Amino acid sequence: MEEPSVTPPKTQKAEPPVQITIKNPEWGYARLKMIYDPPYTAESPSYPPDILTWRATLTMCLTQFFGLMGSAIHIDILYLENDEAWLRLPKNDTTMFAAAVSGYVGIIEGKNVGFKTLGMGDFLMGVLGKGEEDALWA
Amino acid sequence: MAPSSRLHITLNKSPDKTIQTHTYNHRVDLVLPTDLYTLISAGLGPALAQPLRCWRFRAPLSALLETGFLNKYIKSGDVIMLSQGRVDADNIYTLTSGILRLSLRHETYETAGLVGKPARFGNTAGSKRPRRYLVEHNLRDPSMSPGKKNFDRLVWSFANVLKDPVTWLFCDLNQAKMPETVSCPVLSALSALPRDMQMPVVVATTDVLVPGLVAPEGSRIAGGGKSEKAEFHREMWREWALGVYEWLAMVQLGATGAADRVRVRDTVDPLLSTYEVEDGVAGSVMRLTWRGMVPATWIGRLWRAVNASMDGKDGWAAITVHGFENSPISWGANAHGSLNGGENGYTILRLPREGAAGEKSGRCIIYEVLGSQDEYS
Repeated sequence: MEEPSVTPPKTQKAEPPVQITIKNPEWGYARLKMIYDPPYTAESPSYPPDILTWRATLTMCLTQFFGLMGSAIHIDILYLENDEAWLRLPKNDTTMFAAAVSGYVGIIEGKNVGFKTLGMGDFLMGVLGKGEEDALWA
Repeated sequence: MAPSSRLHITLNKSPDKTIQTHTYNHRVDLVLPTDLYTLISAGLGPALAQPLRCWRFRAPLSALLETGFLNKYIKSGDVIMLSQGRVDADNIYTLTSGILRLSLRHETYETAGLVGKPARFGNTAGSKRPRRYLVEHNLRDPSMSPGKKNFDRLVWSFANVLKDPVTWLFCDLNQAKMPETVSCPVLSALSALPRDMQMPVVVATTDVLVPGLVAPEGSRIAGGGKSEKAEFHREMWREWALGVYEWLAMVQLGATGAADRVRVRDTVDPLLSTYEVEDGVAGSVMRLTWRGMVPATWIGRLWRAVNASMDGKDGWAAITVHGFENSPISWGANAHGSLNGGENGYTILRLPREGAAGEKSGRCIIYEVLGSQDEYS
C-alpha cells in the first residue's frame, strides 16, 4: 500500500540528500537500578536513594574495582526515577564501568547493595527504548 | 573489539521510507513546543480520533493456519504479528505482509522438518554449524492452501514440533475499515485481549531549556574539502546534531516530565553532572506518548498531519519511534539481532525556519539508531 509523501512539495531548489554515520560517539549511557538486600520498605526515608547516595555508591564501587583510576571516571547523573538512575560517561570508560557495576556488592545502612544494569548503549535515545516494551507482553 | 551501535543522521531526505518500512514499533513520542501544540492540536484531532487497537493472545503457530484465521487475516487481510521471546536465545516468529518468518534455534530447526537458511545474526562467522536458522514462507502464495504439499508440511511441523503456545502481539492493519462494534469471532476464540492505543499520554513540561535548533553559523553536515577549517565545521555540525538528539531523549526520559537536568531551575553540582543544554532558552514543551504495537502506516499518517498543520507556522516538532528489541527484522526485511543491545528506532526532527523569509521551512533531520547487529544501512 503506497502512502502519499510526507514532505510538503518544496518551492526552493531541492538539495541532495546527505547522510553521515556516527560510530564512536564521545559518550556512553547507562540505566541502572540500585538493589538492596533486604529491600527497603516504600515508607523508609532512605528510599529511593538520592543523588548523593548514587554518587557515593558509584564512587565506592569504581574505587573498589579500579582504585584511583576508577574513582576518576567522569559520571554525569542525568535523571533519577525511584530506584533507577540514568547516567552518562565517557564512551572509553564504559567497559570498565560495566564490569564494576555488575560485580559490586557494598553495604549501606546494614543492607547489602548492588546494581542491576537495565540498559547500556552509545546513544541515550537507544537506551530509552529498551525494556519499555515489557509492559505490552504482560 | 565488540561491534558497536550506529547512528545515521540524514538531511534533505523524505522520511517516508524510514517510517513506512519499520514494521514493529512499541513506543511513539511526539515532542513539540506548547504554543505550537495549542495551535495545531485541533488539526490533529481527526488523525487521532480514529480507534487504533492491538491484541495480545497466547496460541501455538498452528492457530495461524486455521481456515478462519488464515482466510480473514492473512489471505485477504493484512496483519502484523510478533511472538514473545529473546531473539538471541528463543524461537521468534513474525508475520508481516503474509510472510511468516520463523527465527529458530538450531536444535528446533533440526527437528522442525522445514527448509531454511542460516540466520544472518547469532551465528559465528565461518562456522559450519550455525546456531540459528531463518525459515520464510509466504502464506499468501496460492500454493499455501490445505492439500498442497508446502502447506501440509507446515501443518505437520506446527502440530508435532513447533507446537508450544507462545504469546503474540497482533495488529490488524485494515482495522479502520471495519466497524469497531463488531467483535471478531476468530479473535474471541483465541481469548485475545485488546489494547486501545490511539489516546496518547500527554505530559507538559513548562520550564525546559530548549537548545538552539538551527545549526551553528558556518557549520555543515558534510563536504567543504579536506582543510582543517572544513573538518572543524563538520565537527561543529555533528556536535550540534548529537546534542539536539541527546536533548530530545532527555525530554522523553521522565514519566512525569522532562529530566531534571534540562529544567530551567536545575542547579546540580558539577560534581554530580556536567550536562548542559547548548544555547538553552527557557520554553515549554509538550510530549505525547503512544504505547502498543503501533503500525507504521498510522505513524506516517500522524507525522503527515503534524506537518500539514504546521504549514505556514513557525516552530519545530520531533517524532521518535522505538522498535521492538527482539524483532528479528528492523527496516523492511533487514535482519536484526540483539547482541550488545537491540536498539532500532528513529527520530525525525522538523527544523524551525531558517533565515528571515523562512526560505528553508519544512526541512527535517532523520536520526536512525541501530544496534550492532542490523543489516539496515
